Amino acid sequence: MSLLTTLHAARRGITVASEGINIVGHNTANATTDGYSRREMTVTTMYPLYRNGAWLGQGPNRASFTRSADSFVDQNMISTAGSQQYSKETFDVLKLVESKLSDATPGSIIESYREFTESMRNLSNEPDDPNLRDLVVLYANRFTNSINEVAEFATDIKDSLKTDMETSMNHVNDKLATIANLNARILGTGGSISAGDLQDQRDLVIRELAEITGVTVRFSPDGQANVYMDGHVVVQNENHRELEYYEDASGDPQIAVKTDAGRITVTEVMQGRFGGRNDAYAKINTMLDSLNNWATQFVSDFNTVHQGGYDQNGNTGLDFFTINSISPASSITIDAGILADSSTIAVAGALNATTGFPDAGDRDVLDLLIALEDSASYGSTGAYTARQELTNIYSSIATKVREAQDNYDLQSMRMEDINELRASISGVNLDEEAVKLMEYQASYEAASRVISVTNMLLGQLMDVV
Amino acid sequence: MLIRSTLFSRLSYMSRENTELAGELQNVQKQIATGKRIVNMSDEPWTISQVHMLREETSLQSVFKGSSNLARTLLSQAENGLSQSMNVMSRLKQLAVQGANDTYTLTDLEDMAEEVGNLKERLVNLANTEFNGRYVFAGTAYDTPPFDSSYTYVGSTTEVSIDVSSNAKVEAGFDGSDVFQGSVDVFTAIDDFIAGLNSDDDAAIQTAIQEFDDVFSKMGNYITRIGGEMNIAEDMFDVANSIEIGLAERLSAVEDVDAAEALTRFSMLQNQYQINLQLTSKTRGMSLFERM
Repeated sequence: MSLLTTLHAARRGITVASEGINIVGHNTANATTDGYSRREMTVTTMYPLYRNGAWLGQGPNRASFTRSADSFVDQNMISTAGSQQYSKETFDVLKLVESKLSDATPGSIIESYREFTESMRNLSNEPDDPNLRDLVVLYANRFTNSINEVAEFATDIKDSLKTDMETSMNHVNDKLATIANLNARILGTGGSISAGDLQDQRDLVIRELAEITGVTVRFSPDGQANVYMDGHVVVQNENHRELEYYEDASGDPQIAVKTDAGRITVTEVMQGRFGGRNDAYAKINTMLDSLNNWATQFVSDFNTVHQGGYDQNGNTGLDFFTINSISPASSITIDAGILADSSTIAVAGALNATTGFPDAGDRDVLDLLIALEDSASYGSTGAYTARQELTNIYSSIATKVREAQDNYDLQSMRMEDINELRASISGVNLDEEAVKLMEYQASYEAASRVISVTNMLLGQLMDVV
Repeated sequence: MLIRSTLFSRLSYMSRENTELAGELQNVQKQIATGKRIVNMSDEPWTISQVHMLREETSLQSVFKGSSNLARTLLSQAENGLSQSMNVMSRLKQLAVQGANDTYTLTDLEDMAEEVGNLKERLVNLANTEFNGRYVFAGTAYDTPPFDSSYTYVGSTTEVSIDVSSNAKVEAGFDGSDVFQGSVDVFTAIDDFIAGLNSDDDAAIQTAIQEFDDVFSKMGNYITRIGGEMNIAEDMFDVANSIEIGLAERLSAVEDVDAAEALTRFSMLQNQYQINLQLTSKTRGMSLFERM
C-alpha cells in the first residue's frame, strides 16, 4: 500500500465531492426555473491498481452528469400545452363576442328585436298614435344599430385575428430557427453539463412554440429534438422549415409549412393559440354568415309587406329598412325618410275613398308585418322563426364558449397531472438536495481528513529520513 | 411509487388552486349581486332557447294586458254612450206615446217637438262619444266625429278589433251607421216625428213609436254584445296576468339564483380561499435548508 496512492484517492474524493456540491448548487439555484430538469451525477470507483501482489483502490470517479428527464412525459407536455392554449384562445376570443351579444342587456340584438316587435303590437291598438309610431321607429333604429354593432365588432375581431397571426409569423419562425440552432449546439457539447442546460432551453422554446402553433416533438437518443406540425417536419436536427401566413380566395387566414415544392397548409389541424384563433375565426364567420342571412331575409320580407301598405299621408309604403348585399348585417338601417317622419310607416291596407287617406284604425298591413314574426322560414332549413333563428345564433356562440371552457378545464387538469409527473421526474426537491449537500460535505471533509492524516504520516516518514 | 414533490410544483399548484377559487368566488359574488344564477349565456347554453322564449312570451302577455285594458276602456265608453242613448230613446218613445194621445193640443205638441229636437242633438252627441280623441262609433275612422252637422255618417263601416290574446280579438269600435242608422235611421225617424208633432200627424207619430222601439231594441242588442266583448276583454286580461305570473316564475326558476344556496357557497369558498392562502404562505418555509 502506497501512501501516495492513498493521497491520490483522497484527492479524487475531494474533486468528486466538489463536483457534487456544484451540481447541488446548480439544482438548488434552478429549483424554480421553468423547464429546468434536475441534474444528477453518477459516481463509480476508479479501476484499481495491481501492485506488489495486491489490488489498490484509486478512489471515486465521476462517470457522467445526467439530465433527469422522460422524453415521453416531455412530448406529452408539449402536445397538451398546444391543446390547452387552443381551448384558452377559442374561449378568450368567443367570450368577447358573447359579451357583445349580451343576452339580457337592453340594446342587445335579441332584446331590441323584442322591443321592436312589442312596439308594433302596441301600435296595432292605435295605428294613428304618433307617439306609438315614434316608438316603432325608435326601437327599429335601436334594433338595426344593435345588429350593426355586433357585425362590426365581429368583423373587427376577425381582422385583428388575421393581423395578429400575420405579424406573429416572424416570431414563430425565430423560434423554429432557435430550436434548430440549439439542436446543433447540443450536438457539439457532448455529454457535458452545459448540454443539459441547452436541452432545457430548447425544450422551453419548443413548449412556447407549441403554445402558439401546437406541435409534436420526438427526441432522439443523441439529445436532438425533431418538431412536427400535422406530421410535417418543421425542425430536423439543425435544419428547420419556416411557416408562412397567407389569405385564401375568401380572404380567410391560412398557415402553411414552406417547402421546396411549395407549401403545405396546416391551418385546419393547428393547435395552440393560432389553432384556437382559427377556430374562433371560423365560428365568428359562421355567426356573421347567419346574421347576414338573417338580416337579408328579414329586410326582404318586411319591406315587401310594408310596400303593400299605405302611410298616414296616403302614400304607399317605402322600403322600411335599407341594406347592402355585401355586408347586410353591418349595413342594415332604417330608411332615412321613416326615421325622420314616423307618419310614413305604412300600416294601413287601403285608402278611404272619401278622404284619400287611410282610416285611423286601419292596421291591415301592420297585422301582416306582425304575422311575419311567426313565419317559420329562417335558418338553413327554413324551420325557424326570426326570433328563434336569432336565438340559434346566440346559442351557437354560447355553446362554443362553454365547450372551449370545458376543454380548457380538461386540458388544464391534464396539464396539472403532467406537470406533477414531470416535477416528480425532473423537478428539484430541496430536501433531497439538502441531504445530498450533507453527503458531499461529509465526503469532502472525510477525504480532506484522509489527506491530512496521510500528509502527517508522510511527514513522520520524512523525519525518519 | 415515490412522488418527488418540489417546492416549485407545490407553489404552482397552490397558485392555480387560489386562482381558480378566486374565480369561483367572483362568479358567486356576481350571482348574489345580480340575483341571477346565469350571469353569462355560456354558463348554461341549454337554457338560452327557453329564456328567450319566456321573455318573448312575457312581452307578449304584457302587450295583451295593455290591449285588454284599452279594449275595456273603449267598450266601457261605448256602453255608457249607448246606455244614455237608450235613455234618450225611452224619453223619445214616451213623448211619442204622449203625442199620440188626443188630449194634447197642437201647442203642447209643438213644445214636445222642441224637446225632441234637443233630444236629437243629445243623441248625435252620444253617437259621437269619444275617449281621448277616439270616437267609439266611427269604426276604424275613429279620429274624426262619425256624424257630421248634417247627421251624415262619415265614419268607417269596418269595426275596430283589438288582439287581446294570441287567438282572441274583441271589437272595441263600432260601425255607428249600423248602430244609429241601421234598419231605422234614428235621426230621420226623429225628424219625421218632429214633423208629425208639428202637424199633429197621428200616423207619423205612431210610425215613430214603432221606429223608436226598433232603434231601442237595436241599441239593446249592441249593449248585450258590448257586455260580451267586455267579458272577453276582462277574461283575457286575467288570463294574460296569470300567464305573466307563471312565466315570471318559470323564468325565475331558470335564471335566478337561490340566495341561501349562493350565500352558503360563498362562505364555503371564502373559508377555503383563506385556508389556501395560509397554506401557501406556510409552504415557503417547508425545507430542510431552513434547518441547516
